[in-house]
Amino acid sequence: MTLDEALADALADAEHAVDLSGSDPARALALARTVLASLPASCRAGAPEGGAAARLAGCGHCEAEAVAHRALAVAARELGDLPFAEERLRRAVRIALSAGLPHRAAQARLSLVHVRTELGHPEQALAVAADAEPGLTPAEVGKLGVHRAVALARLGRYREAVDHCDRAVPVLGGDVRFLAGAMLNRGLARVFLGEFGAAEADLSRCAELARDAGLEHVLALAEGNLPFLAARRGDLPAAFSAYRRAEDILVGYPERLATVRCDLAEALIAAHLPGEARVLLEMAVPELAAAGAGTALAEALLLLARVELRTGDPRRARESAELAARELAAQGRAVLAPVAEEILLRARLALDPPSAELPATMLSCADALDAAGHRDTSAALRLTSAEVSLGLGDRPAAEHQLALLARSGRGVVALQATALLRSLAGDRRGAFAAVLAGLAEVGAGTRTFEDPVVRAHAARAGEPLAGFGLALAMRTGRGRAVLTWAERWRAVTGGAGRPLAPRPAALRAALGESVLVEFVRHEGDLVAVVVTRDRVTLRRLGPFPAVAEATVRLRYGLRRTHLLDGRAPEPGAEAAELERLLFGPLRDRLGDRPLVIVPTGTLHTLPWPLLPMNADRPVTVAASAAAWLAGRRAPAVRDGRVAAVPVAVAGPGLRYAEAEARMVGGCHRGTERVAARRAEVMAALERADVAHLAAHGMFSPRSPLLSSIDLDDGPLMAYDLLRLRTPPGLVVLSACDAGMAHAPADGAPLGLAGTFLSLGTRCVVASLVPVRDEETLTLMTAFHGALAAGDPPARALAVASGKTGVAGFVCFGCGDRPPTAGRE
Amino acid sequence: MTRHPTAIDDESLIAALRLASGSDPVPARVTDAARAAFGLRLPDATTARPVATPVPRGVRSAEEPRLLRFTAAELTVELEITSLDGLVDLAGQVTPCPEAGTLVEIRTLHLTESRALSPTGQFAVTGLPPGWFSVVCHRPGDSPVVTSWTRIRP
Repeated sequence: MTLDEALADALADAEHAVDLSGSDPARALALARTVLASLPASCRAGAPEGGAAARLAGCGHCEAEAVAHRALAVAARELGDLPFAEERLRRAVRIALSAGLPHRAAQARLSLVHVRTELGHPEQALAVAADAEPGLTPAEVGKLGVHRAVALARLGRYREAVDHCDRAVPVLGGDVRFLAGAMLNRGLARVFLGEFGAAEADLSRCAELARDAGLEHVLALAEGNLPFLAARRGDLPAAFSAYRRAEDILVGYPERLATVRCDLAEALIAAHLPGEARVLLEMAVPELAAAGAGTALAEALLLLARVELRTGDPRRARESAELAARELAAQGRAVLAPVAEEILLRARLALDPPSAELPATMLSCADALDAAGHRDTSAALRLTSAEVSLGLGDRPAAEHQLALLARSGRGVVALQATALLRSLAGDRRGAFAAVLAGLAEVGAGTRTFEDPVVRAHAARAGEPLAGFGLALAMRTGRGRAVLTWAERWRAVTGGAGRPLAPRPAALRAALGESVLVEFVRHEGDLVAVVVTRDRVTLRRLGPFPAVAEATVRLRYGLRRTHLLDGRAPEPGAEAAELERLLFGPLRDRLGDRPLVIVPTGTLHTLPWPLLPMNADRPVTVAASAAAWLAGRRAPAVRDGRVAAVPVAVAGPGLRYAEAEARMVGGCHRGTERVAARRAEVMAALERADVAHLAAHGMFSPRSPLLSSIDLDDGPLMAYDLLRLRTPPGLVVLSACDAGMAHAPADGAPLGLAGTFLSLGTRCVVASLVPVRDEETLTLMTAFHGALAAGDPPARALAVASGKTGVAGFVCFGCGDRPPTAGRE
Repeated sequence: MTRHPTAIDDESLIAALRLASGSDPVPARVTDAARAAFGLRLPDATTARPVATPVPRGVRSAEEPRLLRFTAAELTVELEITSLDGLVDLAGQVTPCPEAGTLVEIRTLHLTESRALSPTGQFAVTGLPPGWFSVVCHRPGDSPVVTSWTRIRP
């Protein structure tokens, strides 16, 4: 091989490495390194400052070297090392210019446009693009347009970004990678412009091109942006599942993966799941910082600040927002500056008493948000500024702002402003009407979500409005009004779709001898509404945090006792303290009558039968008064069921589960033993009227529908249960924690028991703490004995706990009717 | 959950040395964090170190409990962690149960919550942001016991 041939080969290899960098960056990196190593030392040594060899115009060595550096850079960019990519591209430009190769220099600058953008300098990237353009071929100018679009979008100039992509497409010819890139960038810009249909077409075309050409991670980016689009449109379930796919494909591209995580976090924030978003952002931020991805980092910090604010951490929110604001200012991204400012203002409000000028500062920030197109954020901020004005005693300013908001007619915020305005004018009925209209709007918006987790979290957008309705009801001083507004909110979160409340007369008639106590939180205090056959009473109980802490302490003691941890404290003292806090002012209304409890917040995790006054009392825990009433009215056996039978399942890995299943068979005639496999258990649940599952249980607080019961072939999750059409009337979950719930909003307790009840099961008996295998058999033997003797579940459980001393189980739903009532 | 018992002290020491030398400008964020960390030091305290907790047997649960146990010479501090919606609830117990008047402080880098112990030596705090935690047990007439700093993730 002659020297010329060798040089020609090196150049060809370097160009091949550039092409390869999109589909296989690791191989491109290796090939570019091989090319560089093969070049003569004299040339490489002289290159940076332009040695004698380099000054030879058209030097073949230098050309191959410049292209190889560019290949290294583009591959490194794919793999997430932006500073290295920039350094190599600058070197490539220098070498090409010294060697008199303006076209090669322009090509390196073309790649630099994208890297400078991602490093956080979109304005400078546009200047680099202007320098590069004269030296490029028409097809390369098309590529430049694709890169320019990214810089323009980062600057909020979405329309120009779309135009550049439009012009690029016809000149790119057969370059699939850039064609896919053009579709990706145009689609993203269109998402921001709200042109969802066109955006979807672009992103789908991008995915198609990438898939056909084997460009795996471009495909992942396209797929990662389809859910971003779905989230912006409000289709959250689609967003969740597609993000998971994108994450799988992007392993090995940490910076790209971090960007996808930020997008997912944004969708989670929209779904009112800030805790989950925070987990993702805390993973993404260090990755973006390590990659030098300044542009994405600034946006990630902004999202992080928002979730820190939403998760009760205003100090860190302020730090993150300040950092983001500085970065954004340095990057010349004025369009996002008011977003950072809004978070800073809210963090300041959370940390310090409001200054006199705070409302005006908030309003000018709201103007800036409007100008930048963030209209929902600005409306919410204007409402807050009105509330702050009111707090500061400036009623005219507040009323002026509220009137503007009410007239703007923008959704729930406008109705909340209307309610506040009417209430200030003394028009309570008018205020209630506006709250009701707002709750109806929230309910209509969440009804379409089939996933109860998504639905419950989405409903939280209505929490301030529901709180205002409750505050108005509290001012009436009437238990009936408070019950009605508490129930209206629970109907919305529970998926009824409409803010309906049961008629107090119907509720009282159904209660008979029982007492219903509905707990409600109002401005940090706990309030109880007590409903009996003859009246409805309202009682204030004091600060909620004291109750929440006592509940956490009681659960701690109970868990330690049941786990046989040597130093376990006796739960008796904590239980007595809770009873004093929760029922002290109500005892006169309760007597020894059966109790129906509707909890709030942390109280969803309280094992109520453990309170001393409940020792022999039948207790039922319901998500709402309406839910209890529905269970009370439900027929025991639904239409279309041929033969309703009891079924018993014994899960794996337990000594006493088998004996327990046999015991159930001994108590109830015709009990069917079902193998502990998911398909069999699901089928049995469709035909059983009583189902008893003795198994390991697991509660997942972060994703309550991932809570599960262990079977031989894996876990049966709450998500699986959503497929049931005719669930059993009574379900006994003889397992640890199976009654545990997380209620993101009152009225929507999520977990295994909550899932059964939401599907139509009338009563679930389950534990709120870890339970001991052997003790559970003892308790359940007494429970099924009482049940077979005709006791309704709540009474059977009280009898069994009293007889055996085994605590932790609770009766959920409607526990005051025997399971066989409908058949006999 | 990861445990880094000494990380905070090392960071604050280095930051303090740099501050004291006066020659090396330190970003405001670092000096603020260092001052905050120094403000959290308790010179007379005995440090309780983390010890392993036993795996429960004979229960119908396949789950590992999130229990942390710290011991100093004569005292054990336990913390059980639950987290919901990105916030942390802490429950715990000091054994043997100290005399009446004992206070526990649950400290993060930014805030401190103080609780009187229940008669059985228990305490709880709800709704804290995740991050670094330490618990101090202030006993009347005795030196405080402080757990090493522990990072709690949501």
